[in-house]
Amino acid sequence: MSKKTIEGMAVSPATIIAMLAFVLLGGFLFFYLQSTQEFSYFYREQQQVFLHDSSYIGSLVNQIGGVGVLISQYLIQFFLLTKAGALLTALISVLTGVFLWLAFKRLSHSWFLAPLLMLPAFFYNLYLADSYVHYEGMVALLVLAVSLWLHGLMTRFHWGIRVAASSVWSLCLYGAFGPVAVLYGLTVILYDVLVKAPKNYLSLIPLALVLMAGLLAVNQGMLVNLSTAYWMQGYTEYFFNPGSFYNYAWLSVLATLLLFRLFGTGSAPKWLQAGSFLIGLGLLPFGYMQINDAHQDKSMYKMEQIAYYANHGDWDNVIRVAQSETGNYIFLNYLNLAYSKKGQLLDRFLTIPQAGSQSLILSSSQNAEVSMMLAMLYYHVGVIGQSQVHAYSSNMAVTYGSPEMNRQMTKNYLVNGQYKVAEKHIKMLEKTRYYADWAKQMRQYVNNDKALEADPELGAKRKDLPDNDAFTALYGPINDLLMILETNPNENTAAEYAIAMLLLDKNFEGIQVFVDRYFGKLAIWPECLQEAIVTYSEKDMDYCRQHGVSEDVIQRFAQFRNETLQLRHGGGAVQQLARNWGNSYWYYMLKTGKK
Amino acid sequence: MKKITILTTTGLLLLAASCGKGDIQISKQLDKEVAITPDYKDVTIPQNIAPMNFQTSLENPTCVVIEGKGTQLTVHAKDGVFQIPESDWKKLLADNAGGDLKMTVCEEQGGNWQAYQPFTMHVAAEKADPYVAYRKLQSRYEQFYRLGIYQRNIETYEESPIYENKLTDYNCANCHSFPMQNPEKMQFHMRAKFAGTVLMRDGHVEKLNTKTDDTMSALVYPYWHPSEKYIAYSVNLTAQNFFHHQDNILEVYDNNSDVVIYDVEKHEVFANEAIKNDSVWESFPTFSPDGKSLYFLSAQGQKQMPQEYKSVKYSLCRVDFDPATRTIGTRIDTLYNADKEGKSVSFPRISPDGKLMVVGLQEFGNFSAWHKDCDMYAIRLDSGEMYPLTEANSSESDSYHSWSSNSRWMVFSSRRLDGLYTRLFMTYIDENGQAHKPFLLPQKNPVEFYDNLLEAYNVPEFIKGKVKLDKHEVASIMRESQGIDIRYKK
Repeated sequence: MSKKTIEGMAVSPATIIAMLAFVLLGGFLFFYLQSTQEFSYFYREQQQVFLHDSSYIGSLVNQIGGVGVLISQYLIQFFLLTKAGALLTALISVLTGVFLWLAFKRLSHSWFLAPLLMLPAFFYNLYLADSYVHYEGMVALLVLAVSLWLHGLMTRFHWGIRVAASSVWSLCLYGAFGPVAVLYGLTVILYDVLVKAPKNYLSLIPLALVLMAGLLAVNQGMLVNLSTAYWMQGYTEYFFNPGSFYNYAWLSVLATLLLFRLFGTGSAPKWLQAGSFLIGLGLLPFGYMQINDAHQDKSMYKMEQIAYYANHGDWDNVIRVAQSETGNYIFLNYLNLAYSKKGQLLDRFLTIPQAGSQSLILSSSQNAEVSMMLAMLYYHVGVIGQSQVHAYSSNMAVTYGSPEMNRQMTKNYLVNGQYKVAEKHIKMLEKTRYYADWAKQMRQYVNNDKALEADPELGAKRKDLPDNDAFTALYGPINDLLMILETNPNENTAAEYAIAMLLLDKNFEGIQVFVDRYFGKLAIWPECLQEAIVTYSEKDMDYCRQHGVSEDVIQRFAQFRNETLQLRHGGGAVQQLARNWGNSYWYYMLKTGKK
Repeated sequence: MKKITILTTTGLLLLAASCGKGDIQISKQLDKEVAITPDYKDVTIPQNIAPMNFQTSLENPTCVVIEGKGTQLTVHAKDGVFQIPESDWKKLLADNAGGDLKMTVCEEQGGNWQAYQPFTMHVAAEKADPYVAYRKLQSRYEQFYRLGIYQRNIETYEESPIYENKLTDYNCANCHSFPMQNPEKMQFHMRAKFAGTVLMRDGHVEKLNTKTDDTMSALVYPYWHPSEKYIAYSVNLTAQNFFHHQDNILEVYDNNSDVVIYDVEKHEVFANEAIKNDSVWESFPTFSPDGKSLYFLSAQGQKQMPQEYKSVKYSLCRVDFDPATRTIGTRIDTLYNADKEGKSVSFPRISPDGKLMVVGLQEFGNFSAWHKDCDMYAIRLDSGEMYPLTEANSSESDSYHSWSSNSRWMVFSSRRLDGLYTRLFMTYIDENGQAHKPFLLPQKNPVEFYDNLLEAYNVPEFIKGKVKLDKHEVASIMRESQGIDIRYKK
C-alpha cells in the first residue's frame, strides 16, 4: 500500500485501517464496560485513599512496580465519576493496541491482524472484573506497548545501543512497573530474532537482568516468591490464585508478534485479509461478551452495586438488587437495612424469605467486603463499637485503605468523642480530591460537643451510646441493641431491629423478657410484636391486653385460627392463607415451624 | 531579667547573623513562644539521634537558628518543615554533648525577621543504642493483614524490615526479643498460618513448635536470660473484647497463664510450682541482668472472664534462678502486692546495670497498651522504692518500654498523640533514676509522616546494631519445614 500524508505526517493506509479498528473496538469496550463493570469501577475506587502529598506518593513509588501503582491510583481516584472508569480503561486499552501496532508493524503492515492487538487489553479487562486483580497490570500493559515501540525504534541504531538501551530500560521497567518487565524481556528476544536484528543473541541480556533482579528481590524478602516476581501474580492479591486463563493477556502479546511475522501482507490474498479483518473486528467483541458473561462473578457484582447504592443512600435500588439474591445473608442484611432506612422494616420483614436473626445482622465476617457492609449496618442500628471494629478491619484489609471506611471511622470517632483520632482521619481525607469537602464539613464537630449533639445524624448516634463499660458483641447483636435501648428507649431503629431479631429467632422466652421490660417504655409497639405476644400467650388474653395487644390483633388472631383450622379440615386453600396472612407473624410461625 | 535575656538573645542572633551564607538579620525580638510540632521543646536527646526536624504553623517564611557551643546553624523551612542537614546536625551534637542547643524560630514579616522566644534541646553525653526494633501493625483488629517487624537506625531515618508477614501469607508475627540488646540473636513467633517460633542464633534459623501437652499454649511473652542459654516465656490463654465506646477501646485479658523457661540448647521447657501454679495466673517474665533472679507478674486466677476483668490485678514477684543447674527457687518474693496496693503491674523491665526496674502501673489487667491509665513507674531494686516517671508519662497509655545497653535511655510506645495510634518516644533516665521529657522518634517530615501512618508501633526494643536476618530463609523454613517439637521436662 502506498503512503498518504495526513496533516504533514506520513501515515500508511494500513495504519489508518488499524486505527479505525482500535477506535471501533475501543468504542465497543467503553459501552460494554460501562454496562457490565460500572459498579466494579466504583468499587475499585473504594479500595484506595489516594493522598495528594509527597510522603504518600513517596511510599507508593518506593516499592517494586511503584510507579505503576502511583499511576493507577491517580487514575482510579476519578472512577468515582460516572463513566470515568469505563472511559479511562477503554482509552488505556486503545492506546495499548495503538502502540503494539506501532511496534509490530515493523515486521509487517498486517493491517488485517490489527484487531488482534487489542487481545492483551481485552483479556486484562476480563480479569479486572475481579477486584483482586490490580489495575496497575492494565497500566503496565500500556507501558509495555510503549516500551516495545521504543525498542523498535532502537533497532535502527547500532546493536550496542539497542542492547544497552533495552537492558537499562528492562531494569527501569522492572523497578517502576514490576513483572511486566519479564514479558518485555521475552518480547524483545522474539522481536529481535524476527526482525533479524544484528547480534540478536545479545537480546537475552535484558531478560537475564530482569530475572536476576526478580531473584534478588525474592531472596531479599522484598517479594514473596518467583511467580510474584516474574508473572501476572505480581498484579493480584496474595491470596488470589490466577489460573491459566490469567496467562492469556501476556501470552497474546507474544502470539500476535509471531502472527505478524508469519502472516506478512503479501502472504494472503486481499479478500482473505479483508475477511480476517472483519471477522476479527466482529469476533473479538462477541468473544469478549461470551467470556465476560461466563467469567464475571455476578453475585460479587451485585454486592458492588449494593455497596454503591447504599453509600449514595439510594435505598430503592438497594432493595431492587438485594431482592434478587435472598439466599445470601449480606444481601438479606442490606434488604432489611434498606427497608429500615425507608421506615418499613417491621411492615415488610416477614414478607422476605428470612433465615433467622442473621438475616438482619450477620454475626461475624471473615472478609473485607462483608466487613465494609457490616460497618455501615452497625452504624445504622447504633452499635458504634462494632461499626468501628468492622470499619477498621476492612480499611486495613484493602491494601491502600477505603475512603468510605475512613468516613465511617471519622463519624464513629466523632460520635464517641475521640476527637484527636477523628481529626487524624479528617486530615487524611482533606488530602484527597473528592472527600476533602466532606472532611472539612466534619471538622466543625472536632472538640465541639454542642455542634455534634445538634447534628441530626451524629447527635442521635451519640444519644444511643450505652453509658457503661460493657463489651460489644459478647452475646451477639441482640444484646448490643438491648443495651442501646437501656440508654435510649426512644431509639426506634434499635428497637425495630431488636424486635425483628427476637421474632425471627422465634425466641419466645426472650420476647417475653423484652415485652415485660419495655412495654410502655418504647416509642413503638408494632403489630408484629403484638402478634408474637398472642402467640406465646394465647390462653391468657388479659396478659395480652395488659401488654399492649390491641383488640384488633386479638380478633384477627381468632380469625387466623379459624382459617387455619378450616385448612386443616380441607376447607380452605393454602394460597388464600398466604394471601390473607402472609405478612403476619402467625403465618411466619406456621410456615417455618416452632423452634 | 527578662529584658536582659531578650537583649542578650537579640545580640547573639545579630552577631550570628553576620556570618555565613543564608543567615538572617533579626530586627525584632518577640516576647512570645511559637508552638512546634512535634513538641521538641526542652527535650533531652542522645548525641547520636537523627536530625530533630519539626514544623510550625506560621504562614510567613520562617527559619530556625540553632546555636550551640562554638557552632551555629540557620535552617530555612521548606513547606513549613525545618529539615536540618544531617552532617551539620551531627557536628552540632558532637560539639555539644552534655550541653544544650538553643533554637530560635524566626519569621519574616514585611521583609524583616522577627524572633520568637527560644527553646532548648538538651544533648546528653551518653549515646543511645543505634537501632530500635519494633513491630508495625494495625492498632486494633480481629484479623491480621499487613504487619512486620522493622528496625530503625535512630542516627538516620532509615527503616528496614527484619521480617514482613507478606512472605508468609499475612500471618501474625509477634513478640520479637533479643538477649541484652544483642542483634545477633533473636526470636519471634508466627501465629495462625505457618505457626511456630523463629529462633535465630549462631547464624542459623530454627523453627520451634512450642505447644506441649503440659503447657496450656504455645510460648508467648519472651525474655532472654543474659547467658543466652534460656528464654523465659509465659504461656497464656488470651482473649480480647471490644467495648461499646469506652476510651480504652478494647480489653486484652487472660483466661489462664503460667511462666516456663525454655532451654535453647536442649529444646525443652521447665518450670516449678512457683511460676506454674494452677490457682495463679503468672505472666510477663523478666530475668535480672545478673541472671540470678526471675521476675514475673502474678494474679489470683480462676476468675470468670471477661465478666470479672476489672478484678484481675497483677502483683510483681521474684524467684531465684540458678542457670548452672536450671534450678528455680521455691520462695516467692512479692515486690508489689496488688491486693494491698490496689493497682496492677505490667511489663517489668530491668535496666542493664541492674539498678532500676520500670513497670507499667494500671487499675487492672496486664495488657497496658489498651489502658489509658497505664503509667510507667520505676522501682529502685536496692531499696524497693517505687515512684512514677512523671516527666515521661502522659494521660494516654505509655507502655512497652525497653532499655538501652548503657541504662540511660528508654524507648517506649505511647498513644499520647491521638489517643489511638502508638508512637515511639525516647526518654533519658538520669543517674538519679529520673526520666526527662521524652521526644517522639524523629522523621524527615514528622508531621506528614505520622499524620498519614495508620499503623501503630509496638514492642520497641533497643538493639546495639543492625539485625541481619535472611527473610527469605525464615519464610522458607516456616513454610516448608516441620520444625523442632520442644518437650516439657517434668
